[in-house]
Amino acid sequence: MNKLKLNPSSITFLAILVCLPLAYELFINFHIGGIELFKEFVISAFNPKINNEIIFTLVKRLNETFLIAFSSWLISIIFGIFFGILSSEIFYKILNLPIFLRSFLNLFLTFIRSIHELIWGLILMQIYGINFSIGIIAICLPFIAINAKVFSEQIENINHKTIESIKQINGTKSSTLLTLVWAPILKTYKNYGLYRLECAIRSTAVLGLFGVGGIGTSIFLCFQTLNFRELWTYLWGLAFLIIISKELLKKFNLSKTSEKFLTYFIIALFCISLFSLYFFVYFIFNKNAIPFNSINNFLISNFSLISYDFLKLLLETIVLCLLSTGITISFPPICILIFNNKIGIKIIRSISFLFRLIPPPVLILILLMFNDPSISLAAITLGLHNAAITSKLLLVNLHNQDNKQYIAMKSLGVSKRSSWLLGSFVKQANSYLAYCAYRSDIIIRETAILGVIGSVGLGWQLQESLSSFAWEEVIIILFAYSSIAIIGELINGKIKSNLA
Amino acid sequence: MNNKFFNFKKILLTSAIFFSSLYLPLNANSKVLRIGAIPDQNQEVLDKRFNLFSKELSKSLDVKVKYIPVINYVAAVTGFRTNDLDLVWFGGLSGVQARLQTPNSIVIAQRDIDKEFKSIFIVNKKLKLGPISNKNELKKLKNLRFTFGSENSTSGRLMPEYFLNDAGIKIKDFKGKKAGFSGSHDATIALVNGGAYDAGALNKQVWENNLKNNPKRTNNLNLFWITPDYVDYHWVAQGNLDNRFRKGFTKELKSTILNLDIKNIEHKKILDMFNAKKFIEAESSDYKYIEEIARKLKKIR
Repeated sequence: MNKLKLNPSSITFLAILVCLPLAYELFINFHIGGIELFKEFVISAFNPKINNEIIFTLVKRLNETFLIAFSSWLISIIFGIFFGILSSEIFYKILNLPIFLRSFLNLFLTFIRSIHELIWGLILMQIYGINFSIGIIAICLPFIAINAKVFSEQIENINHKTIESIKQINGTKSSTLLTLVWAPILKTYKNYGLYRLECAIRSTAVLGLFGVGGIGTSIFLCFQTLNFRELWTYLWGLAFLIIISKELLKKFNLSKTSEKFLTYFIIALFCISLFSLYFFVYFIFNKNAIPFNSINNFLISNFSLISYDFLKLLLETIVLCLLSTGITISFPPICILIFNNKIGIKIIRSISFLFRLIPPPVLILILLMFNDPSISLAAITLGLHNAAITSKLLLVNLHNQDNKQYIAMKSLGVSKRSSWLLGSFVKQANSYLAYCAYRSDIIIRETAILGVIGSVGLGWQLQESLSSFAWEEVIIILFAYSSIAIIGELINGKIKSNLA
Repeated sequence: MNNKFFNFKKILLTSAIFFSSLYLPLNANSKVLRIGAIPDQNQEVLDKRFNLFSKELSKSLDVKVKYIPVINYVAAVTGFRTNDLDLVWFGGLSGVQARLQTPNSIVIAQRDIDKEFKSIFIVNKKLKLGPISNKNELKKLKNLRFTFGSENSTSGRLMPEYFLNDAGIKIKDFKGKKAGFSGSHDATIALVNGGAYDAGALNKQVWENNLKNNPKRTNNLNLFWITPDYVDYHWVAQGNLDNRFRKGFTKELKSTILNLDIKNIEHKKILDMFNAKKFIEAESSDYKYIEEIARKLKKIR
């Protein structure tokens, strides 16, 4: 018998094992008590509320959402590239800087990434009060850190031989660096950067904003009062915005534009971002920061958090993250493998679009109509939402890749599924798995907004401490989140080096 | 290539317009009375309620009034503390939290119904638990899955938890040694009705609204217990309004709110949106009791 070898493809499929305990718990907790409400939710999707007032509000909110999403996307891409270069090994090799600076920066970026934008918003608000910029900065902070990770990983993939050969030319250090990183940055920007706009729009939609609104507030409030018809009006509006912005971006067919044009484009974006950053900084320092005494209280606090079964919550959060990551990794390739035909793919696309569109808090409430609150339920909610996102990326990459091998295998008589697996998916497995690793970071911070309703994990405690204004507790919990993220990062690194 | 640069210019122009429009809210006038509210209703109701209210205030006080929506209770309290909101419609608990964090703030008014607010406990019918008359019987809820509403809600969390504690039930006595937070009163109804939770507590007004307008959603529910009266929602204003606007402004503001008359058609619209017949005088001392309970339950530290 062949021994199972661990490689990116097998790891992708092995992750499905998390479904065993999950399915068991979901099965024993199953009930149909909420079927009426579920029906109402589904019917409302086809019968959203439409009247003059709501359309007016919708257009206004969509406008705000797009403005916020667009500016945070721009800023986070540009600064993501900047920090991506700073946190890549090549930067330190070429400039001969001590490598510990890189570890330090990476640790810092992981910390920034691991905290949900909503929490960033609330923290920034404590210091600067309600204002428009806070909403954008709150989205930008974790997005910059995520983009930095994506860009730095792509830069790391540069062949060492290339580095050496370019070094031989003896150019200035900065031009060597630029020559090296330019190509991977452009490639990542083309493959990934544009897709981030959808993320920014979605994130704005979940976040709502501080004092301005945005469609997030409307979605959240309708969901809170279970006004499903109104909720669907806003959700379809959001879907419309996502689709329209995607179509608009497609018009800038990047692969056909010249490098020179792209260079100008990126320089222009950079100028705009610098300008906006200047504006934010000016605004923030112009307005006197409000004294925030809780940090002092933190030093004299008696760490009463130990009494909250803190370790148990921490463990629950870790389990929740692991289970959801398992689903996120394994569901998309398995679904594509099983339904590998035109109609099947179309159905997967539409379902995953819906799961991306419906914010996780709404999703978990709907799932609670059929199940009791448990870690498994929270995990499947987060897992499905994130799998919808990874599946989109996987489908796009599969579509763009060269299919010669797949066609060759099929014409040799290998079954359609096997040839897809061995001819098509294998080539994507590595980058897919790498992308899922970024997703796991996002999953960690998403537990912060999901834990409450399912009453699991640190999210529950975080919301409780936030709403009691117990900042010393909030700080401890945020550190716990970051520690989980950092440990996750270490494990990811280990797995990656083993695979290499 | 020229064609592309044309596009490039277009991009630059569009971006410039985007960014300039972004900063419009920053040039807000400081002579504007900014009102806010805890987000406990859906968008349509909140917008209508506070836009009508703003119009009325603006008319009778002769100042610009702007309603600023906030995303949650914490944001409302913080917005008030950071002086970004001048007048806020708070719940009992959030109002006390806001006043403790904002020295000199003033309680302006409450609704007639806020003096005798009540919460109710509901249970899923499958448990076959009948209504109780004595609070000590709340012990029957032990070892059940229990959910509150929002973490900072007075009627959906604070007072129910207080009455539970009073009857000798701690959160740890529930199944899973924890209670859930559904996020809102309506969600509590949905989750207990659906069976995800066995029991829950919520605002009596929302319950009655659902019984009347959405009886389907309460099919599987039994009313378990109605709590005694307590005080809830109130208007809280900053203490510096007289300095910012004019002498006696706070007094004028207070009398405008208290003088809303149900016989006046315009006023009736506003009062209906607030589910009230009128606004009445309120003192910060009315909420001392809420503060004590909140301190006991560590919602205020």
